Amino acid sequence: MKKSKLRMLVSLLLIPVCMSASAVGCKKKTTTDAPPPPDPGGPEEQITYTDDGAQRLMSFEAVEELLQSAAISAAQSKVELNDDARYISDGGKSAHMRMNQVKNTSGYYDNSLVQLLCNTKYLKKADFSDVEYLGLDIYNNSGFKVDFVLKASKWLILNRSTLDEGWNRIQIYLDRTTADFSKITVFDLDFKGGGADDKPLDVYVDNFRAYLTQTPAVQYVQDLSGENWYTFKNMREAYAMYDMGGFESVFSMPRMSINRNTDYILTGDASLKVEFCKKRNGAMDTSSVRTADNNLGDLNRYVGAENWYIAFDIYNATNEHIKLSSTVFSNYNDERYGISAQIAPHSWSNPAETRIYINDLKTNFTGEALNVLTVVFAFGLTSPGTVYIDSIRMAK
Amino acid sequence: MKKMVTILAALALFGAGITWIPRERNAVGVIAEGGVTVKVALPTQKITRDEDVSALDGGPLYIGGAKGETTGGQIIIRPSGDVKSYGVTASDLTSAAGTIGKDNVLIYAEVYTLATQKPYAKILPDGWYPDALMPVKFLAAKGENAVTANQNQGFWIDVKIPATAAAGSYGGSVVIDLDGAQTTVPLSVTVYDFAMPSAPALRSSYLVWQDWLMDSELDNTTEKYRAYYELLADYNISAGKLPFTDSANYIEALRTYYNRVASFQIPYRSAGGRFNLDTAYVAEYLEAVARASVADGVNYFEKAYYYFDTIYDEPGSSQAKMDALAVTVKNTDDAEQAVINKLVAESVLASESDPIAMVMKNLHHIIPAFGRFDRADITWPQAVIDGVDPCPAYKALKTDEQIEYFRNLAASGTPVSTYGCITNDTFPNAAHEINDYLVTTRDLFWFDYENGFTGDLLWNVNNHVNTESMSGVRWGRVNDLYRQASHDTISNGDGYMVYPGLLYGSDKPFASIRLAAKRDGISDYTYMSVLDGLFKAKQADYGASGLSAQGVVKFLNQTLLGRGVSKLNNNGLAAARGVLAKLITLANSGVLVSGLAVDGDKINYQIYTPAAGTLDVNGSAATGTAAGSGLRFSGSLQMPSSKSLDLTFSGGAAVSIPLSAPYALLNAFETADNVNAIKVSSYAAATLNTSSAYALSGNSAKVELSGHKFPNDQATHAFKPQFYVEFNPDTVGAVKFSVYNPGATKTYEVFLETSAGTGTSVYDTVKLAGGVWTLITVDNARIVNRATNSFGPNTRVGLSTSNLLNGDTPYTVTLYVDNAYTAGK
Repeated sequence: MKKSKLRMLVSLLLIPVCMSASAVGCKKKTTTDAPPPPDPGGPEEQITYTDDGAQRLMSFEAVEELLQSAAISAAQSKVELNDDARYISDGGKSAHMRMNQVKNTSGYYDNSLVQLLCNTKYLKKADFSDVEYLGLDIYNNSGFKVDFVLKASKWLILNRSTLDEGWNRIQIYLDRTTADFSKITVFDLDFKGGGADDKPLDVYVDNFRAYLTQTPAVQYVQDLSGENWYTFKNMREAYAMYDMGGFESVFSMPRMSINRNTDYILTGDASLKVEFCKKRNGAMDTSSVRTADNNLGDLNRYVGAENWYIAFDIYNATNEHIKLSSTVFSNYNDERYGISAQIAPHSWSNPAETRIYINDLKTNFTGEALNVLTVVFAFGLTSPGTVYIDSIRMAK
Repeated sequence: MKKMVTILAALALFGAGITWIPRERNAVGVIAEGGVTVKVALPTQKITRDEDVSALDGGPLYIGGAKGETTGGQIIIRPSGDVKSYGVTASDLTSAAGTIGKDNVLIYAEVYTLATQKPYAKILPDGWYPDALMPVKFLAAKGENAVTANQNQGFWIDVKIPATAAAGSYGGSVVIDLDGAQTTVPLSVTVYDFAMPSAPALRSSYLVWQDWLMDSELDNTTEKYRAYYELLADYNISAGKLPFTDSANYIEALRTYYNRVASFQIPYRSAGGRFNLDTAYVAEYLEAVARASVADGVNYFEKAYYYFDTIYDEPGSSQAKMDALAVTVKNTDDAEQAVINKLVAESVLASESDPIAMVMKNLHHIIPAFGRFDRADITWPQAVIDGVDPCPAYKALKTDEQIEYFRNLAASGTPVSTYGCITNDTFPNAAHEINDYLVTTRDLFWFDYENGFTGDLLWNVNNHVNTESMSGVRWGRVNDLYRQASHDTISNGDGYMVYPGLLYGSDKPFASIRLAAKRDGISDYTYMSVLDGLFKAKQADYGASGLSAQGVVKFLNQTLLGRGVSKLNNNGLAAARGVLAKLITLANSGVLVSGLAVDGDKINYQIYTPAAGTLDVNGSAATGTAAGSGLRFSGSLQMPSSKSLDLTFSGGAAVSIPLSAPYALLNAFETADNVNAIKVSSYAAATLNTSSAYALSGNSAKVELSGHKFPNDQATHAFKPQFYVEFNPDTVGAVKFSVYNPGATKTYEVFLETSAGTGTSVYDTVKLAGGVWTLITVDNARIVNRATNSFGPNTRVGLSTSNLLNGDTPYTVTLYVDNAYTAGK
C-alpha cells in the first residue's frame, strides 16, 4: 500500500472509528502515567557564526545531522562524513556525496536531489526574511562539470549555476522584494551530471550559511486592482506565473526571468522571458505556463456591452511556428474556454487573434464560472526555445 | 572453584525464581546494595520496560531447535538500582555428544521504543516496548548499555545450532555483568534430531525499499541493500528483489542466494508511470535466468515470481486498475513467449515443452488483495485469474467464508500468500504493531499451513521515514529511529522490522523481536513442511495415497487458533513446536501420527509404523493392521489424567503429545432449573422441553423468541430477540451447544458479550436449517471477535436475530437448545 493512499485512508477512517468507539463506550487503553514522548527538537543548539560573519546553518559535522536535517534522493548513492581537510571549508567535516543517476529497478532518477530541511534539529532556522545572502560551498570532484539548481520551499529558484571542478563557493542574493522568505520549509539542491555510463556525481558539500541584514524586507505587491495585471516589472510578477508541472526535472522546467531588452517589450519597460528546455533523452519537455491560481478572480464585472477581453502580447523568439493555445480555467466544474493563434518565428503575436472575450466566457461558462482559476498559455514547441510574454491585461 | 560456587548458587536461586543479591563483590553501584531480579521469557512474549515481571519463570532459559536452525529466547533483568554499564557473555554449550561453541550463542540487548495509541495500533497500552535487537557492543560504544533502577532490560539469546551438531541436550550459561557484579543464567539447549533444509519452506516477499536506505543508512547502493538482504535471509525471509545492480551481476546474485531463500522476484521496472511495464527489461532477465538454468542444470524459475509493486500495487480497488493489470499480465506472458521462442530458435532450449520453458510460462504475479476475486462490483479478467496468485490481507481472512474461499483456491492449485499491511496488522490478525501481541505473528504461519497458504507478503521492512509528514520534503524525518515506535503518526511499527546500523556504527542493520518472531514462525512452517514430506514419502509404502501432516497440524492448531484467531497461547505454541519436532523424529523412523482427535473424553488416533516394530500407546501395546508394507494403528482411548498421548515405538524414547482440554458438559437442560440458566431478551421465554423429538438426549430447552413493535421506530429497528448461556472466562476457552430449528431455515448471529452486557460482538452468523440439529461451536469464546477486535473477557454466548416482524405484526420463532459444553483455555 502506498503511503499517499494511507493518508487519505486514515482521514476517512478516523471519523467512523471515533464515532463507533464513542457509541459503544470503548475504553481507551492507556496507562495513568504514560511515559513522556521523545523530545522532537533535541537540545537547543547554540547559534554560531563563520569567520566572515555569516550565521552557520549547517556545517555537516555528524551523521545524525545528515539524517535529521537532510533528505537525499538519488539511486545507487552513498553519503559519508569527510574529514579530509582538502574538502572542508568549515568545521572539521563535510558531507561527501557520491550520487549516481541511473535507471533503477522501479524508476528513474534524472537528477540527484539533496534537501536541507528547515525547522529541524540541526537546521532550526525557517525565517529567512532577515537574510541578504545565502552561502554554500561545494567541491566538485566528479571529473566533469555539474549543473546545479538551488530552490527554496520547492518552488522558488534561487540559483542556477554550473559547478566547475574543484571548489565552488556559491553566494546567493535573496531578493526579499519578490518573495516571502519568512517560512521556508526546505532548500532543494539539485545536481545533474554524469549518468548510467559515467562516473558517479561526486561532490563535497559544506558550510551552508546565511549573511544577515538589519534592513527590513519590503515586498512588491502585484497590483491586480486595475486593468494591467501583469507588467513584469519585477520578479514578484514572474513568480505569479507558474510552470505547468509535469516536467522531467528542475533542469528542464521552463525558466522564467524578467527581460528588459526592449526588443522584446511592447508595453512598459519589462516583459517575461520564458525559456523552454528539452528532457534528458532529447525530447521536448513541457512548453506551457500559466497565471497563478486565483490571481485574476471574478471577471463578472467585465461582462457587458463594452466587450472587454483578456489581452496579452507574446513574442516568438524560436525558429518554429507556434500554435498558441490560450485557455481560461474556471474554479467551477472544471469548465474551460480557449482560443488558438499562430505566431510566426521571431514575431509578435497578432493582437486580434489573442483576445479572450469575457462575453464569450460568459456564454461558455455556467453560473459563477467567471471566477477564474488560471489562464494557461500552451506553446507546443518541438524544440528548445524562448518566448516573451508581455502585459497581460484587460482591454476593450 | 570460587567461580563455580557462585554459579551453582546462582543456579539454585534462579531455579526458585528469586532475587539474587551478590555477596562477593564490593562493586560500586546498586547491585551490591539491592540486587537484581532475573527472569526468562518465551520468544513470543513482549516484556515492556516497566511491567511487573514477578510472574515470569526464573530460569533456566530453555531453547530447542533443529540442526541448522537459529532460534532463541529471552532473559529479563530488573535491577533495584541504576546500572551504569552492563555486558553479556555466553559459555560453550556442552553435552555428552559434543560442544556447541559460544560463538554460536548470539546475544542482543533489546532496545525499548515508546509506543502510544495510534489509529491502527491500540491493542496494548502505551509504554516502552522491546523491539530492536542490538549486539551489546554497539550500545556500549555509545554509553547506552545502562539500566535505570526498577526498569526491565531484556536480552535476546539466539542459538545458531550448527548443521553438524549432534542431537541431544546441551547445557551452558549466560553471564550478565552489571557494573562489575556478575550473575549467571543457566542455558539449556535441545537439538532436535533432524536438520532444517537449506531454504525455508514458506515463500516470502518482504520488501526492502532500496531508495529509503538513504534515509537511514545514507547509502542505497547495492552493497548496502545486500546487507539487508542477507539479514532477512538469515531470518528465513526473502527480500523479494535479489541484490544486484544490473544484468551483468544479476545471475551471480541468483546463484549466490538461490539455495538460501524460498523465492525471488523477477526484476522489473516501469517504462513510465503506473501500469506501464518495461517488458523488454523483464524479458532481458527472464532470458538470463533461463540461460543460467540451462548452464547450471537448475531450473531457477522454480522459485521465481513476479511482483511489480510500483506497477500494479493493490489493483483490486477499481475496475480500471484490474483491466490495466490484465494488460500487464498479458505483456508479461508475451515476454515469456518471446524469450522461449528465441531460446528454442537458438537451440538453448530443446522445445517449448522444456521444463525450463514450462515453469517460466507458469510464473505468476502475486497480487495483494483485500477481498475475494468475486467482489460484486469488480470483474477480474480471466487473464488476471489465470496469471496471478492472490495475497489476501490478514484482515480479509476474518470470516469462515473468506478463509474457505482462499483455502479452496489453494487446494485447487492456485498458490495463496497472506499479506501484511498497515490496516490489517493488528490482533486478532497477525500483528506487526509494536504494542500488539507478538505470538500472533507466529500463529500466522500455523494458520497458513493448515489452510494450504504457501507464502507471506509484507509491503516493507525499512520504512525509516515519516510517511505522514511530507510537507515540503520528499519524506519526513523520524526523530529517533530506535525509540519512537510510530514513524507515520498512525501506526507503531508498520513497514519496518529492521533497524539501520549507521547511527550505531554497524555496517549491518539490526533485526527486531518482531522479525525474530517471523523467523521462528517460518521455521515452524518449515517443520510442518518437513513432517509432511516424510508423510508423503511413505504414502506408497503404507498404501495410503492421502497421507499428509495436515491433520495432525490441524489438531495442534486447536490449542493455538480459534477460527483463525490467535488464542494468545504462548506456552501452547512452545509445546506445539516441541510436539512437531517429536513427530518429525518419529516420522524419520517411519512412525506417522496421521490422525488425532479429541471427542468428548475420548482420544481417537491413527498411526502408521513400519511392520517391524511394536507400538505402545499410553503404556499399552497397540495392535495394528496391515497397511502396505507397514502397520496402521487406529483406536480410541479414554482421555488419561495426564491429558497426553504417549507413544513408544520399539522401545525407543517415549514421545508425549499434549492433548487439548476436552469439552465438559456445561448444561444438558434436563430440568427446569437447568433451563433457568438460559437468559432471554424481552418478549422471549425459555422453558423445559420434555419431548424427545426435540432433544438430543433426555430433555432440552425450548426457547421462544418474539418480535415486538415499539412506539419508536428506532427502538423497533434496534430490537434483537436473543438468548444466551453464561460461562466462566477464567477457565473456559471454548463453548459449543446444539440448536434444533423446527421451522424454516433462518440465519442467526452468534454473539459474545461481557458480563456487564457491554462489548457485545458478533462472532459469526449461522444458518439454521429447518428440521435438523446444528452444532454451534465458539472456540475462541474468551477473547475476541475477529471483525471488531473487541476483547472480552466474554462471559455470554448466544444467538440473536433481527426483530421478528411481518410488516408491523410480531411473530414468534421456536428453537430447542441442548447439551452445552465448555472446554478449557
